[in-house]
Amino acid sequence: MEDEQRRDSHEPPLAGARDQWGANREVPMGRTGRLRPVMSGDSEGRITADELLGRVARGDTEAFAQLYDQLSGAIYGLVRRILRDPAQSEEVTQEVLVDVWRRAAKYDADRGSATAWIMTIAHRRAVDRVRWEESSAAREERTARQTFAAAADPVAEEVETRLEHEQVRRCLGSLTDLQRESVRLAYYGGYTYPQVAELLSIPLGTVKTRLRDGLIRLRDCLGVAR
Amino acid sequence: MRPDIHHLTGAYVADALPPQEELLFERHLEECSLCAAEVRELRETTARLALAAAQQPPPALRQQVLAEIGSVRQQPPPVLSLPGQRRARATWLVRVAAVVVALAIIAALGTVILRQQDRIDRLQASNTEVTEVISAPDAQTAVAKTGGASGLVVYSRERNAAVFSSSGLADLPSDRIYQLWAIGPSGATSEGLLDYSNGRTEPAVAQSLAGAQSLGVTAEPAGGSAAPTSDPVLVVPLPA
Repeated sequence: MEDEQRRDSHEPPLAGARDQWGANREVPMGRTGRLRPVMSGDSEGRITADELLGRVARGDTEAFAQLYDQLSGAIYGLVRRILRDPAQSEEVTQEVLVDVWRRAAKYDADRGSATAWIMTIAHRRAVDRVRWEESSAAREERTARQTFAAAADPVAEEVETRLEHEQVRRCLGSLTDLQRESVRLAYYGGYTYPQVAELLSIPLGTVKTRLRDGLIRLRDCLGVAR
Repeated sequence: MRPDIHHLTGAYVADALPPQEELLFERHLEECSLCAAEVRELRETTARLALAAAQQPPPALRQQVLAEIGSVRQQPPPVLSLPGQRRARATWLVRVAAVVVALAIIAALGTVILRQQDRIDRLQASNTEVTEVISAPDAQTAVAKTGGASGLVVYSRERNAAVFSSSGLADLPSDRIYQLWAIGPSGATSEGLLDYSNGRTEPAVAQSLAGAQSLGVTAEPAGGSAAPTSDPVLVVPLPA
């Protein structure tokens, strides 16, 4: 095994080589050869999530461990933002990651980046958990509206103070108040748009529109690859 | 389609649509390539919001997750969808393939439990039927969870029909299939076989629901059964 690796390392670097030294070799190629979307996470020469997910689909547990190291923080942070409860968040994060492992072969790069695919799964899972718990609670008592209202302020505040990502924070700041609040309550708060409309005391149609034009403005501000 | 449905892209990527509207919008997405492109871009955008919220998970989680995947079989790649293919088309191909496979199995078994023409007609008709039921003025929604699976029912009493969809059901061996039942005091009536892929079943229309109290899913031998042969893996009560 060791001999093989050494021999391997004397060969000229090949694009897309998939042995365990592939990571080191692909650094210069990734930087000079082709542009990657900002979010692929290769600014430090790491293998991109897209490449890792491709390997995970073929059952590569080492690639999965690397993917874990790259994205478990974002998954956990997002789930935590929505669910708040640490134990539940840990449970859902684990479900998400196991789901990524299970469904890796279904990922289709033509439909978006691996990171977006994974975060879509994470957001959906967290929101499903919230809705599930609320649907049983809401049937029992009709005070849901008050509960939402009470929960709203701390959520918004927490998000603002904890946003690590300077660019995202700046771009969120470029939105109108209604756009920002709609995006925050829906995406980080896990509320449905009718709930957001209640919380902000604005018409349903306005929330739909603000969510859309808010996210479009964010997209343009962040320079998200089309 | 209503003119403002395009504006739902934002609410959709934020998972902020109530179940009924989400179903409607997903139907629309299959036909609207502009919406699909916008959804793709907005998902990249919301992913940035997720990355910005990153927080270190408890260190023990890593080992737990890595240990768990050791005992989880991975799903196979979707061999029928060619690169660059539109989703609607891929879905259609998968459906056609499912029919072909189902017919082959039924033929091989020599037992025609579901009338073949019925099955094909239903697939072609289901698009419009689904839309009709979920947009009925008296449509009501119910969700329920059994184990890791969750089911959604949109029920219109007036139309005596309900749309059923689910997520989180486990993959079945190739010789078994999910079947939908209307369950009432007098027993279970077959509502047909479900198209399963990717952890989800395609929205299916259940009809003739007089006396039914809930919809349930069982895993049956390929081709389906005349009566359930196992306990339901998922049950959703019809909304009162």
